[in-house]
Amino acid sequence: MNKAYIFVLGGTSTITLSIFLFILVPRLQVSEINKDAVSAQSPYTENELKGRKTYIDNGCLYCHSQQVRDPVAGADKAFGWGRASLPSDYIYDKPHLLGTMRTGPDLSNIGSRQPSRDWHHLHFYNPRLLVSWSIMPGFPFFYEVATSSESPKPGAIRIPGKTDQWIIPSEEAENLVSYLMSLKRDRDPVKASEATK
Amino acid sequence: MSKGGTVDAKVVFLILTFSISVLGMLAFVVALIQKQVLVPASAAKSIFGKNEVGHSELDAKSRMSDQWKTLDQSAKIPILLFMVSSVLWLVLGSIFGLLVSFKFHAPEFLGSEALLTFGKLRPLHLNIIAYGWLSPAALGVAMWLVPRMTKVPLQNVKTLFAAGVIWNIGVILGCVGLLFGLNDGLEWLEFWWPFKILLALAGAMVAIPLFRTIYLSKEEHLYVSMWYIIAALIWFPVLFIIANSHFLHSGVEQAIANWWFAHNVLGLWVTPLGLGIVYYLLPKIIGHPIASYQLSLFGFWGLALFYSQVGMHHLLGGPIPTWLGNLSVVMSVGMAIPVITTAINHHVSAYRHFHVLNESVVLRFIVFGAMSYTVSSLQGSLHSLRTFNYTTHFTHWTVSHAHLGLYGFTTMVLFGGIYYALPRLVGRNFKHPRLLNLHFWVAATGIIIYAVGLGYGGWLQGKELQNVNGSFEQSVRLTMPYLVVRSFGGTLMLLSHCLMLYNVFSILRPEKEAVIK
Amino acid sequence: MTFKEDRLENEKSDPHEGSSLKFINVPLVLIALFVGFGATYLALRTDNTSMTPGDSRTKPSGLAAASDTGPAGTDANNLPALMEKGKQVFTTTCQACHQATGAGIPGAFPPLAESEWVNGSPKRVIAIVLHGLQGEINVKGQKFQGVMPPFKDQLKPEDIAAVATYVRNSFGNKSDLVTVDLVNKVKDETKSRTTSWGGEAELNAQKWE
Repeated sequence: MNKAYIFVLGGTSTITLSIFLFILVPRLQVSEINKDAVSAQSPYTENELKGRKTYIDNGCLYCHSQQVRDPVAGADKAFGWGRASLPSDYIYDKPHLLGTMRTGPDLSNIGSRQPSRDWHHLHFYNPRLLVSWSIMPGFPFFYEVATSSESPKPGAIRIPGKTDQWIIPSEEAENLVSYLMSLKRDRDPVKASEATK
Repeated sequence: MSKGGTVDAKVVFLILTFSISVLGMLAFVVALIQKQVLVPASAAKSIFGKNEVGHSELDAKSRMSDQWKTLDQSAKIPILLFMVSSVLWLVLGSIFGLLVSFKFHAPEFLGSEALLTFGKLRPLHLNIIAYGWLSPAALGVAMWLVPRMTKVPLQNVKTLFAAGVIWNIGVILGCVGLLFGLNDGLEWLEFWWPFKILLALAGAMVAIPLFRTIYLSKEEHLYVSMWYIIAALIWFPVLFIIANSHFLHSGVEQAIANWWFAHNVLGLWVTPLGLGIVYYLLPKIIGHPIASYQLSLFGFWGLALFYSQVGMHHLLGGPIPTWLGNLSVVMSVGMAIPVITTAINHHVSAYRHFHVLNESVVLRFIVFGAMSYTVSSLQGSLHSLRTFNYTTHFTHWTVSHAHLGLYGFTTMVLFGGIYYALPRLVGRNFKHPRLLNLHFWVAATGIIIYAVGLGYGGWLQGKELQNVNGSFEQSVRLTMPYLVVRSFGGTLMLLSHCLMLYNVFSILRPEKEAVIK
Repeated sequence: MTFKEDRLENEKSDPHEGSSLKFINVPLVLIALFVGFGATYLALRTDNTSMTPGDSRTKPSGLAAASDTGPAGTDANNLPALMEKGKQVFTTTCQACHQATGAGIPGAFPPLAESEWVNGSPKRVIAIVLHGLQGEINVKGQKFQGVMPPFKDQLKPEDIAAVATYVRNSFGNKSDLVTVDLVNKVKDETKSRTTSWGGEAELNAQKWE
């Protein structure tokens, strides 16, 4: 059929070459690297995975990366975001959430560098309560607001600037914060041969 | 670690691929010399009918020639389905886009509603534009052009119609799913996977009428636009299925597959369809063949070879092997070859007959698109180089670049394509041709403000993210004015889409006096 | 559409168009340039780091050299060195709650500036940073009832000494520096502890000197 086959063949062969180079070879190499490294990461708990789903569903990845660059490429280290990331930091990540935007700060190590749950809850409720210049959306729908002079419930957090207003985190908010708390990619992996001692 | 054996083998792989690419190009040069014999000199003129060469087409008068009428209206209903549904998606998608843009500088705006939060609207905007607007609009225009180039009425019209219906159902389900937590969590691939099966199926179904029509064609030669359309319809299902085979990937490997897809869906799906349309409509409206038909061979094969290997520049600096980044950087720079050759073809043709721009609004859309293709592609080659990439990575520069490519180039070309096709499809002229012109100027102004403003803001942001004495706070504060500028450009773009919606629906309403015999 | 036969624009169209080889040298030159660039780029970039997992790394990011140990020379128990390191730790770890000015957030996170707790016993400051705090505490006449997380796993003794020194000598505070030895001592004395301090009441019940 009048030379269409040239383009069918050509198109198929270039895409095959591309699949080979960009899917198969890296896959083999990365899995070999990860085999030799016992990740310092641990599998996510059930609640952390639920929180991870909330992270995905609410589009956190469109503004927050989870990959740290070497000082040669950016000020990541100077900003306190941690060491440059390694493949073994992500072995439990499915889907991956590496991200490509830094409208917000990198979250690779948020669990280590900002471990206050109270802070995260208030920040999710309204980021500008704590960070005046923040452009992050608030998530007030994850919280119930209660009026009381004393803590209405264990886990309730007083809203700054109000003496009698408290936020009560929903289960969704607790899981999301648990997920963030689990992000600690600051420990180094160890060699498989040494880990088995 | 097992250095030595395995590592050396991979160095060999790298050298091997590079050699294959170089050999491929050399072999192609040889083939080109033979093609001189095989490609008839008339090939570039095959898109012209009797007595059409040398006469520009003035779409204000919109001469609907009888020699094309049967071909143009051979698949009227499915083509209209693709085009009209895509315009509706465009308006919806750009409303979401504008809301997202406002939320950047007014984060409280519509912020208390769980379904209207930034993180829900952002993927809706991207997926509606990519799968609701760009894909079906490009398919609609491309499939409308196929009979014109094969000189055979489009075959399997019902299959094409079914593909259009399935595609739209896939997009509707995908979007509703996103709102309620059915989200695969990968950029450009957010739709829940069962819904994506519908898209892959519909994409493959479009290939049936395409290949059946080509099969019946008696034309000696396939015009250049056909090469792009054929290749795109092969590439899309392959890309889409591999990237969505989630059981294959996790962690860093999945990130690699994700960005391999996300760049290829632009380079091997939207771009070739857009270029195919330019290659047809630009010479057709001007009334002269493209400047050099041989150059278009370089343009096509260069795109096929290089564009499929550039995706890793999205992960430079990340936890991927260095050689993978190196390869993508080299291939991104290599994209300059097809881009410059294509640019010569388009711009020399347009430049020689520049006066036609005064007469044809469709040509304005097409030429603007071709110019944006050149600029955004060269910009892409440049910022894949690590020196630039370190600055632009993770910033709004990338967003500006993506919009220059997908709006400045593809969307503008599709506007032109739809405006060219609609009168010939329905056999009537636009009631208010001036509104087409207004659409062009509003959209062009909008995207220029958007791309320049946001690109500059992104560059400042990137510089601050590299400044070890700076702070993240400063990077946010710096970009604020440019985010407002972006919203302004975006508002103009949305306004122009509303004009288009009006134009499209006004031509669909039959009115006696507007009918052309 | 009809064209009058007497119009001859047809004939005037560029005879080379469509089949011209006029521009054919352009892609040939481009290909030559590309081959030169690609070969040079890959040759310069391909060394023993190109197979390691991590793009653009100044050090080979193999397992051994994965992390930086940070600014070296933590022998110094001198004020300027501790202050510099302390500021870095504070910015990364403490600033989000206690704010860059040390003023805290009224009603949520207590101030450090001129706080009687910060400027009091250094051992008590170390103990709070190590184990965190969960319970009622009065700072500068304001009542707080929040949770401060423990940092004994995140921060090394050198970091804690530095950040404690930093907060005791910033935001208008002026107290003596905190040594690594003292941090190690408190860590040792409280090593059996698994929970956070239960607020003011428990802290006050301890002997800190």
